[in-house]
Amino acid sequence: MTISGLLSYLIFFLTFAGIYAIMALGLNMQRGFAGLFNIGIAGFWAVGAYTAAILTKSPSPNHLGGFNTPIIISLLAAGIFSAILAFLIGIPTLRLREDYLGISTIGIAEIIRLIFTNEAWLSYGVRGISSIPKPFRDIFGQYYNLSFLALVLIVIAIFYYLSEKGIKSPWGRVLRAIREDEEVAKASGKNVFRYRMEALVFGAFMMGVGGALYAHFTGFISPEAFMPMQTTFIVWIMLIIGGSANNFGVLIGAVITWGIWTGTETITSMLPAQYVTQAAAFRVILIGVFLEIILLNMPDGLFPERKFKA
Amino acid sequence: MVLQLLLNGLIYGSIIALGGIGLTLIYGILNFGHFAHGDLMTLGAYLAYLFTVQLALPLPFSFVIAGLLTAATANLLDKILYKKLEGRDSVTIMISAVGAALIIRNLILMSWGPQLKFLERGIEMPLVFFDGLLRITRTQIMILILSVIFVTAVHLFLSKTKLGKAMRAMSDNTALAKITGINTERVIFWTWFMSGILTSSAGIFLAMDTHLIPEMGWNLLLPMFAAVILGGIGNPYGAIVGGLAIGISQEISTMFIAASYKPAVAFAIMILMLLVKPSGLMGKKV
Amino acid sequence: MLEVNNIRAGYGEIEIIHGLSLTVNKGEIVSIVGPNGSGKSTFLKSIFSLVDIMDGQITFQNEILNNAATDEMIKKGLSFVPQTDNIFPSLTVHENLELGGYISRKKLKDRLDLVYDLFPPLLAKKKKRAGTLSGGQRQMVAFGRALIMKPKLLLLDEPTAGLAPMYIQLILDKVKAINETGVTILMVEQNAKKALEMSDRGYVLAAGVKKYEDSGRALLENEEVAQLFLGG
Ligand SMILES: Nc1ncnc2c1ncn2[C@@H]1O[C@H](COP(=O)(O)OP(=O)(O)O)[C@@H](O)[C@H]1O
Ligand SMILES: [Mg+2]
Repeated sequence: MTISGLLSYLIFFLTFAGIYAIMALGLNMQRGFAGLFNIGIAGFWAVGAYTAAILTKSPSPNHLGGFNTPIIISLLAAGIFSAILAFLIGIPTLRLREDYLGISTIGIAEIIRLIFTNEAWLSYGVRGISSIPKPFRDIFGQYYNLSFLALVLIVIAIFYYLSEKGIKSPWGRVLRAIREDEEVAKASGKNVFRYRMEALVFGAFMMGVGGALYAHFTGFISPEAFMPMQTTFIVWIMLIIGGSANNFGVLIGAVITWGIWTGTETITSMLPAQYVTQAAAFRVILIGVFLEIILLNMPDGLFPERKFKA
Repeated sequence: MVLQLLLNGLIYGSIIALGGIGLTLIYGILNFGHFAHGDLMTLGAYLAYLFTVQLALPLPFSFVIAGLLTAATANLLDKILYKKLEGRDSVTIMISAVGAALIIRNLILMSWGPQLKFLERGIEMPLVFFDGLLRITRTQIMILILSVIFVTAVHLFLSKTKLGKAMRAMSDNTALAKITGINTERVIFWTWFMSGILTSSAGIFLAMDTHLIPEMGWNLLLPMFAAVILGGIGNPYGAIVGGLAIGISQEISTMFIAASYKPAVAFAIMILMLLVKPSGLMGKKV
Repeated sequence: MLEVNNIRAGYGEIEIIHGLSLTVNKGEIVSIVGPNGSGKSTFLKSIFSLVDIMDGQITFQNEILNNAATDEMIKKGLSFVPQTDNIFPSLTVHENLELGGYISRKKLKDRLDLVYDLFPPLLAKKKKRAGTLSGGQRQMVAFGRALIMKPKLLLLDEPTAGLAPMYIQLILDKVKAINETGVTILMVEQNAKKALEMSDRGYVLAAGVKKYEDSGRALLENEEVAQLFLGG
């Protein structure tokens, strides 16, 4: 591979890792700091991706669209729609034990998938939405991928900053207190439901924006284009490897996990074509086993939660 | 029409109920949602496929062996994962179950591929009743009869035997069970074992009624959880009632909404329950 | 019968009981009283190996009991009734009692009959789910479950907690009646006066240490104790 080839692969790699890192930051807000169990990440991701696609595209006979909104609006809208979804799912579940949220997020992810699969007027069904605009392509030309990476990094920086600021504030202290001992927090008069809801919604906002970036970067989305459960699972691994409740660790975890995931693809792609299904399944098995090993042997991940002064 | 939907719902509901019994007992006793339960169901079905179709062994024999192997897998998961994670927060244990689910499903995908498979060859002619208002195949009749037998056996086991009562006791109050001198390790072992047998049977019934695909059990996870929550977590009788209620509602719902949205019905019922009475119809724990 | 020698116990790293000693002789009723949060429950649990013991020794009939397995302790003749959640609510009354005999079913029928004799109201509710009973009857179920193994020493954690006033005396009378069948009793009680009145000896606990130890009557008459712990 030439130097420039290597470089462009690196940019490509980092962009995807970065989009996943945004998801992982969102999950960290929910699970890491607030102790919330979201295994429907794919649902929030899809809502963000479809929102961005529908808003930014020029009119199409196949599905809803033609709003031609600028990317900054589409990113915000993607985050907001995803956040609204989180809010709705939080209402029945956040007063109850953590499993209910987990089960409900699976359900909501499934329903989102059903909607985008069945409502052709909205999303062109299984055929998906293609030719999603690539922002600033005209301006940056051959440096488009690099500029997109820069955009992803800016988004990461913003979310990282907001997360850290939030978590170090009195708000974050209460959030962690709730995670440690709900009863004590309740007894000291904290509105546990509200704090949890805020973390859930903020996390979902990040996931929605991540979904929008994914849509713009790949230019094509469909209900099955990315394996929902697999995607969700990879984000979880990023969080667990990096270290739950440590934003920096989670970013590192995202890069490592994405490296391993794409690395296994490089290896399995050398297999003959008739083994392609087996190879894909084998990759998931590998990464699944990897997760279990980490869970059993490295409970705090690479970067354990930092202790803040009370 | 309604009659046919009721029947379909009853069959589908029995399958959810059989899986749900184990799910709810594990929930009550070990205090976590077992997200790999659906994929254990798939495993049972594919093992039955291996023995009956690929190795041409008699179905009853395959049924039993598949059940035992699925039960052994459930015990193995407990031994190498869940037991080792004991004392960690429940989200950690649940995500390890999600991991186990993905591993099992992809092992199945690797071994048998993504194509539809059938346990029985050929199309079975249904028996027709009431001028075509009700059609039922012999397989479906057998599924219903076997489900009734299974549920009765579970009931007798839980209400008459020492081990069964200990299971219910542990599901009620684990700390008190320990204080009472109940051998909790033993109870946990047999709970996994029984859940494995039941969920494998449910998977085989589903495969007999329809077909096999690697996602078949995962797709039933949400209805099973909905049944468990509807009936009250930890309550096996609740899971049976909940399973039938979910199954029948899903089928009946097709009179009012597009059939493609059927899976959403279980979810809607579950959310409604969480809003109105989160402890379930017959339950206690929240 | 029971000798607790300078025990330190608590939860994980947190020590709650700071070196406590206590003796219970055969046939006695011994009460532990003290303010809320003083460690009474923790102490009782330490005897039944339900909390972490950091130091000290517990012997029962001259055998060391520290960290014994539960079924072993039950076989040796100990039974424990926790303060809360002391029944299996979704099981029937009869099933609750039966499970009391989980580790040995020899002559279970006779032992069940003895419990029904002691608590006649339970006989009529045999088939009812225990969770549907009144507070006093639940407490009887809890006692009954613990008595099925015919213990030599019964550990009771606040048997009257949360009961309606009409039941408090009834339950304490039952404790007395159980004692009269030859069961030694060590109990923690909030109703300190009532408890000490019926006790042979009592201990007053505060902040994980022993403050007073005397006969029940003497503690009741001790002005300091009365002022500080019995509400004047
Ligand atoms: N499971 C537990 N983990 C940690 N601390 C506990 C636990 N249970 C009780 N404590 C603490 O131990 C102390 C004594 O409690 P307890 O023994 O229940 O007191 P009492 O029965 O006298 O009211 C209290 O400060 C309480 O907060
Ligand atoms: Mg107490």
